[in-house]
Amino acid sequence: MKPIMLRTPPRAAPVAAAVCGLVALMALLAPWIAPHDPFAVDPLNAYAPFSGTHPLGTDDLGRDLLSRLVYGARTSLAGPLVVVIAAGTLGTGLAVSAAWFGGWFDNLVSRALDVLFAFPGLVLAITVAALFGTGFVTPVVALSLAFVPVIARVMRAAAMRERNLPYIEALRVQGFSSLHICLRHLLPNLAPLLMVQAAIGFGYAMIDLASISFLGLGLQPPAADWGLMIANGQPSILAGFPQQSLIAAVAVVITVVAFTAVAERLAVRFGGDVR
Amino acid sequence: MNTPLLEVRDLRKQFKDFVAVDGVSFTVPAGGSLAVVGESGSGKTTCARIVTGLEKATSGTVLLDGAATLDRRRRASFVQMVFQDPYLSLDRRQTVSDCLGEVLAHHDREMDRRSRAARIDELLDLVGLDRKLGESLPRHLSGGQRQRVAIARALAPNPKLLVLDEAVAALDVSIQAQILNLLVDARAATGVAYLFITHDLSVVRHVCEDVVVMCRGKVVESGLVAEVLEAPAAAYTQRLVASVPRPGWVPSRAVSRG
Repeated sequence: MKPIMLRTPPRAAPVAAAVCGLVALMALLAPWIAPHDPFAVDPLNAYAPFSGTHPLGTDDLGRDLLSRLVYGARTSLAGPLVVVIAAGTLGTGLAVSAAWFGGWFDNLVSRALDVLFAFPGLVLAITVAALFGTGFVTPVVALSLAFVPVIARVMRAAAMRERNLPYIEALRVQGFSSLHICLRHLLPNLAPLLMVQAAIGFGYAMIDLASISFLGLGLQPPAADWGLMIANGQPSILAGFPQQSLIAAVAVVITVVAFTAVAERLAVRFGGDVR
Repeated sequence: MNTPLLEVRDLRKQFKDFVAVDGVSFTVPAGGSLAVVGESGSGKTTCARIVTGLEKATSGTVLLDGAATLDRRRRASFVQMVFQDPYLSLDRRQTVSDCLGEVLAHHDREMDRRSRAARIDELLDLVGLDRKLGESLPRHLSGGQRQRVAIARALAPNPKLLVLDEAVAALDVSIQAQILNLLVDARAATGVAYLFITHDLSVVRHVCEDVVVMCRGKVVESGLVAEVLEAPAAAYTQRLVASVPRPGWVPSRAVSRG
């Protein structure tokens, strides 16, 4: 995961947020809004063009592409969501503990994060998936671990800065416990930054998980997943039917760009204001 | 003889090779007001931080009401601190009422909501803040108002001793005067004693009776404010007093030199 270098125009942020909301709604309401069963095979209707019955056409097995796209939003969003929640929780927990206790504990955590940081996330996830089996859980767990140092490093720096602010010292002088100060004051003040990190990480996790699915190490057919749809559509591209790969790829790109734009806006909104 | 509220004996604090505080001793009687003055780096803030428990002394003793050790909560209800920067000493997410309410609930768990609200109003009155500001976040307050909130928070547990670490240094002059007057009034109203850390001698005259002058971690002179500042005996104190700007004043290059 690399730092974001985009400049999102302020007016693009609400549009991006709306796109994120729409994709999330699509995932939540999939059973009610999908026009067909995403798994229903209809070989006689394979590679059907855009029509009223199949607005985005069908794939090589005659499955409705719109329905698969709608259902695919579920796994495509659930994976990154689990990754950012798991990595955010673990990373922030480690970061705040290291910043709060300092000394040898901080050194230990920092060196452990350095070691974890040395493994590129995608490579780690692919290796773990190859070793422990394909599916949804294995790549998500591996990617969560890979994202921990990315989030923890940023959060540790912020926690260090926050920990040394006079209001934290005032709370210590008031006799509040470390746990109380961390849970009631430090963490809530770090929450906006964590939100930004999560939103940035979400986009990258989505690309990584789509890549893992594309390589055949994530979800397996007949699951409806955008990365898998891109992979499954590959042979059809050569046959002159690029819809499946193209539609899924566009969905991934739009969603990632939208989340990244929202993250960029959040970073501008919350960045560095400690007063 | 009465036990002093605060007794600091032969205090020493070393940061690696640097000795910040070296054999400092002083006392603060109940209801008294002691100023610790000196230029930046003289060790006065380190003393204050040790007294409040934010730092541990390398050696020496700090006795609070005659006791060397107090548990966290008892220490907090005995000694409190007001910090220099009012912009950073309040949690930016917490309203004034929540800030004070949290402290009150922490120190008196049996206090019900109504009593707490009444005590918050009382504290706001004490520091001269409009009660309506209770629902304000720190960013909606001026520097002076924020420092008043910080003082109210420090006074909330009814401490016997209030450590004020350059508490007016970050405020502009007119606000400084208001806060100093507030401190004088608050002391009269509550009987709280002050340990006033400052480099501003005019502030010392306004608020304190006793003064300790520190230079390079050591006490060079101590006594009544009127005596020490009017007729300083130590060469360092003389230079410190001479460095206060006045009509026709020519600044020397450094107070602590030779």
